[in-house]
Amino acid sequence: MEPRNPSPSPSPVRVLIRPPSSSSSSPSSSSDHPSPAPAPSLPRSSDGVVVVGFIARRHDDSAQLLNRVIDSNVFASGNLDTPLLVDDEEAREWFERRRISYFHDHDKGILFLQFSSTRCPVNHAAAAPSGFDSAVEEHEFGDLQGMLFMFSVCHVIIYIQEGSHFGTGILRNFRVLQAAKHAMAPFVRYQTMGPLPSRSHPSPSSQPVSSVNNSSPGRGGGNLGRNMSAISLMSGLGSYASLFPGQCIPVTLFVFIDDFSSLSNSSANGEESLDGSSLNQSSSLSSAAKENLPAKGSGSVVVLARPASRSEGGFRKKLQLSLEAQIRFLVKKCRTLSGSEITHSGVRTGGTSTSAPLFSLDASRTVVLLDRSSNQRGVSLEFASGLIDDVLNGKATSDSLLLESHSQSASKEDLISVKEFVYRQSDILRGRGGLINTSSGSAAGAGMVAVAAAAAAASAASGKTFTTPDLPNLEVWSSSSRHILSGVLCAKGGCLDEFEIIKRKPRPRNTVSSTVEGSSKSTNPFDVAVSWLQSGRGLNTKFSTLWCQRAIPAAKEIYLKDLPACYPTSQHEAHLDKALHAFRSMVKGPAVELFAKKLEEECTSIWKSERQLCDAVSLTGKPCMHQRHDVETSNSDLGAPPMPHSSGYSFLHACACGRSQQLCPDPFDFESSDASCFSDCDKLLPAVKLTEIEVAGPVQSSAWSLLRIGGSKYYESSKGLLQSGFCATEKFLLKWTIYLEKKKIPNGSTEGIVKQGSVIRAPKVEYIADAKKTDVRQAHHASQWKTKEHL
Amino acid sequence: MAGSEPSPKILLAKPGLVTGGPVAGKFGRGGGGDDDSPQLRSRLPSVASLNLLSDSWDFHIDRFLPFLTENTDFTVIGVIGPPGVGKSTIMNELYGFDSSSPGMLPPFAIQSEETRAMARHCSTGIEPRISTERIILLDTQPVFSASVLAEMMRPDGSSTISVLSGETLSAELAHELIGIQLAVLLASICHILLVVSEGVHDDSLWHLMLTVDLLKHGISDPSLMTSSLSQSSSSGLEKDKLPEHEEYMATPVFVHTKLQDQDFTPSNFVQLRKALMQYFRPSSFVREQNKPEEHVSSSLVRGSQMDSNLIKFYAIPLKKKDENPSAQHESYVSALWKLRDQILSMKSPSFTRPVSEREWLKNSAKIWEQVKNSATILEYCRTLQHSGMYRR
Repeated sequence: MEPRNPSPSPSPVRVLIRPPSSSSSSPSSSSDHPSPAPAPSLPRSSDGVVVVGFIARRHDDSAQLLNRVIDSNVFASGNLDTPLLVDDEEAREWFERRRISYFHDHDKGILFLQFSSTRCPVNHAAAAPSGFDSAVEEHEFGDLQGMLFMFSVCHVIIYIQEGSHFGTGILRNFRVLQAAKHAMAPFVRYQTMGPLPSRSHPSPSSQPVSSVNNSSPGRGGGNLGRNMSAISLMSGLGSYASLFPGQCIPVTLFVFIDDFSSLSNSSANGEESLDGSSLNQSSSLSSAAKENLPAKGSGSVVVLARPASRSEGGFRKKLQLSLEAQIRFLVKKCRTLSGSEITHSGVRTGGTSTSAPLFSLDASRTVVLLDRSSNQRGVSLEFASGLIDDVLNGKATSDSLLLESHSQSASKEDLISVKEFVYRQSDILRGRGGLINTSSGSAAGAGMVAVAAAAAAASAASGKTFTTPDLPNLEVWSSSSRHILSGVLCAKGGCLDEFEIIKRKPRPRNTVSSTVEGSSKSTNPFDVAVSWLQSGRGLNTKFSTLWCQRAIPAAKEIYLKDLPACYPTSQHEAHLDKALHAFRSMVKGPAVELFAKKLEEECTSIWKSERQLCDAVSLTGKPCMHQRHDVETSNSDLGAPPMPHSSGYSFLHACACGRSQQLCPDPFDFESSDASCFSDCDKLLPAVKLTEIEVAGPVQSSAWSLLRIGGSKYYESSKGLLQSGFCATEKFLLKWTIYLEKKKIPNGSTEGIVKQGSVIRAPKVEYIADAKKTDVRQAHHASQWKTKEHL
Repeated sequence: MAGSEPSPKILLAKPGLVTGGPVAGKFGRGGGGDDDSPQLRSRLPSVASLNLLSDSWDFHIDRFLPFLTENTDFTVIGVIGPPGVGKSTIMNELYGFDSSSPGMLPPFAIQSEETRAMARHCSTGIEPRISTERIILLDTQPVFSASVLAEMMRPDGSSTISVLSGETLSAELAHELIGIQLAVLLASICHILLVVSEGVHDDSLWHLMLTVDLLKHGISDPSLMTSSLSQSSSSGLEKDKLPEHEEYMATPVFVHTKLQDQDFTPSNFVQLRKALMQYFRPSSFVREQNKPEEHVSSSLVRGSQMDSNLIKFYAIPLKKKDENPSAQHESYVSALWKLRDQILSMKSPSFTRPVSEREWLKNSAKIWEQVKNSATILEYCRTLQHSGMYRR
C-alpha cells in the first residue's frame, strides 16, 4: 500500500467562511496531518478551487463513494452538501428527478460536485411526450443536460457505472455531448470575458479587498509560488481562461461498481494451475495492450510482477487493464474525443481550439474497479465512527482501528486509487504534479515524471510563455456555473432540423462568426447546444413520420381508384376502409395512428367538398343523382323547393278520365307524388255526381266517392271501357257490393285500410290521379278512394 | 456469470488458452472468427462452433443442417441482450443442461473468468443448438458490446463487416445496425424471443425491440418462403399489394437479470410490468392480441383494461456465492428454474402454415437476405446518420 500524499494543513489565520462544516472537518484533518506544510501554499488553495464531479445513475453510488473519498459523512445522510438550484419554473420539473449538490473542502481546495438521477427505477410517465419516442427517452435527455453541465464546469470527472461492461451507448452520448459543448462555446467565451480585465489588470482598489480576505504575508507567498511552478500537463490548457466554468476539459476516471467479492472468493479457492494460466494471460494481455497503447509500455512490468504474489488481485488487475485498453481504444477511434497523448502546440490565444475534446484521459489510470459491498459499507462505517467519536471524544486510534478491521485490502486499495487520482489531478492543476510524484516513487509516478519532464522541456522551448492558468475561486465558479446550468435547463431546443445539421456543423469552427453570433443573440448557443442533445432523441418517431408522409399519397390514390365523379356514403366508406388498410400495411411505427387519422380526414374532405352524392331514394327505389343539397322538409304546393331530389327517371301521369297526360319526374315522397297539374280536369265532368253523394247518407262516411266519366254506350263487356288513357289490363269493371246496414263503422275502416294498401302496393297512374281529384273536390276527407261506377 | 464448475473446465479447456494469445493479439485489428473456429474445432470437438453467421455477415446453413429433420413439431427460441447478462446461461437451462453434473461442458459456452478478465465477449454471430425435445435454441453475440465494436473497427474507424451491401459505414453505426439486424432476424424466424437486460435501469433493450417492431416490414414468414408470395413480398413498398394477414412477429419475453436486493421487491415488479405495458402500447406486441378488432378506437378502449398476460416479464436476482438468509426474495437458482418452466410451457404463436425443421433453416437464410437488403432498415440507417450520434 502506497503512502498517502500529504496535503497542506490549515492555517490559523484562515478566515472561516462556513463555520458548521469546517468545525466538523477540522478535528479529523488536524489529527491526520500533525505537521504543518510550508506557508506559501496556503492562500493558493483557498483562492482557487479544483472541481471534482461525480456522475452516477444511482444516488447512493455517488454519495457513498464521495463520502469515502472525502473521509467524512458529507453527502446523503450527512446533509452537509449544498444543493445547486436554478430558480426557474422550467427547471423545476428537471430537479424533481435529479439532484446536483456540492461540498467545498476548504483545507484541500477541492469542490466536490455530485450529479445523480433520483428517479424511481420503474416509475414512468403516462404517455410519450412530443418529440420523443417514450417518456424514458425524455428522462435520458434530461440526464444528458446534466452531464453537459458536468463536463463543462468540472476539472475532474468520476464516471460511475454499474456492472463491469463498457456499453456502446456511452460513446454515442459522448459524441452528442461533444457537439453540444462545442455549440455552447460562444456564450461561455462571451461571459468569461467579463471578469478577465479585473484579473489581468489588478487595480489599486482590488488590492485592499484581497487583503481583507487574506493576510498580507500569505498574499506575497502566493505570488512567489505561482511564479515558481510553470508546468502544466493538461492538453488544451494553453488558453488563459480554460479552467473557468464552461471551458473545462475534465480528466475522466471510469469507476465500475460490480460484485467482485464472489469472484475473488472463487479464484482464491482455485488450483495452482490457475495462477500459471493467469500469468500466461497477463503476458498475452501485455502484448495486446502494448500494440494499442505505446505509451503504456512501462506498465507491463508491473502487470507481470503482481500476479505472482496474489491470484485474487490478478483477476481484478486483468479486468481493469482490459477495460482500460478497451476504453482507450474506443475513445481514440472516435476522433472527436481526445486521447491520452499530451501535445503542446504552443500558446493558443483568442479562445479554445476548434476541436476541443469533451474530456481527456490520464496516462496512468482510466479505470477503477470498485466492489459494491465495500462501497456500501461506508454508511454503517461512518455511523460507527460517529458513535465512537462521540463516546471517546474523537480519539484517532479508534477510527483507524475500525477502518482497518472492516475493509478488505483489495477494496481498500481501489478506494485509495480513487483518492490518489483525485488528489493527483488536483496537484497537477495547481502546478505541483512533478514535485509530489517524484517523492512517491511509484511506477505510475515514474511515468508522470517522464511526461512532466517532457512538458517542462516543451515549456522551456516555447520561451517560457506557457504559464499555469489560474483556478477560479468559489464565488466566481458558483455564479458562472449557475448561469450555465440555468442556460442549459431553460433553453428551447429545435433550432436544428435534419437539413440544417450539415450546414450548422462548419459554423462553430469559424471563431469570428461564432463570436459575433454569440454576442448578438446571447441565448442562441444554449438553444443550439440543447438541440444537439435532442438530435438523437425521438428517432423512431421521426423515422415513422417521414415514412408515413411518403405513404400518404399512395394511400390516397387507392381511395380515388375506380371511383365515379359522385358517389354515396356507402361507396365512400368502402374505399376509405380499403385505403386505410393499404396504408397500415405500408407503414409502421408510433406515427401510424396520427397519420391514419389524417388520411381519413383528407379522404372525407375530398368526398364532402365535391363528390358527395345525395342519399335519398325515390318511391320507385331509385337513388337521387344530385350531390348533397338542401331540401325543405315542408313542401308547399305553391312554390317549388330550391333543389328537389331527382333520380333521372320520368313517369307518365294521367288524369282521372285518362285524356290528359304528361311526364312527371320520379317522386321521392307522397306529397310530391300527389302534386299534379290536373286540378282543372274534374270540372268538366257532370255535376250529377255531387247530388248522388248527398242523397246517400251512409255512403258519405266511407273514404270513397263516385265519379261519372261517361255513358253506358262507352263500355262493352268484351272490350272494356272504350276510352283512351286507360291501361289495357285496367279497362274492365269489377263487382263491388255495398252493404247498407253494416258499412257504417266496421266496413268503413276496413275498406279504407285495404284501399290504402293497394295504393302503396301497386301505385298506378289512374289511381294517383283519382286520389288527387277527390282531394280537390272534398277537402274535408282525410283519405279518399274512387272507383269507376257504371251509371 | 461465474462458471459453476471451474476446476474440470479449466483442465479440459487448457488447449483453448493457447489460442487466447492470437485472439487477444487481434484486438483492434478486426475479427478473427475464422481463425478461431478451426482451432476450437480441432481441440474441443464437443463444443464445435455451428455459427450461422460468418465473418462477412453471411448466413450459412451447412454446419447446422445435418442436425435437423423433417419434423414439423418444433419450437424456436432465440435470445438477445447486452454482454454479461446471462443469455447463454438461460439457454443452457432451456436445453436441459444440468449445471451440477461434473465434467460436462455446457452446450453454450459461458463467459469464463479469463474471458471476463479480458472484457471480451464469448458468443459470436448466431450459435444454434437443438435438443431432444426438438427445441431449436439460438444464442447470439451481445448487442451494445464494446469488445464487439473494438473487434470490427478498422484503424480509420470504419467497419470491417459490410452490414449494408456496398456501403462503408463507421464502426459505431455498423455496430448499431448489426444489433438491429440480429433482432429483426430473430423476431422473424423464432417462436419466442428472450430479451434480456441487466438491472432495472437499462431500457436500451426495450428501445431496441420498439425499433425492431418499427423496422420489421416486408419480411416474410418462415413458412411462406416456398410459395409464390416470396416474389411479391420481397418488395415491401408495393402500393397495390394488400396483404391478407398481419406480418409474423415472435413473442417477446422480457427478462431482467442481476437485480440487486433493494430492487427485488413486489411493488417494483408491478411498476416494471406497468411501465412495460405503457412502453409497448403503440407496438404490435400489444395490438396483435386484439387482432379481431379492426377499429382503432375500440382497441384503445381495450388497451386501458389490458392485463399482465399480454407481455411476459420475468426478474432474476443477482447470483451470490453466499446466500443471504435475510433476503426476502427467492434465490437465483429458483428464479432461473421457474423461468425455464414458464418458457417451455408457453403457447407460442405458430407460423402461417406447417414447415419442417430443414425447411425452416433454408427459409431463414432467405429471410436473412431480406433483412440485409431491407429498404426500411436502409432508410433507418440514413436517419441514424443524420442524427449526429454517429460519425459520418
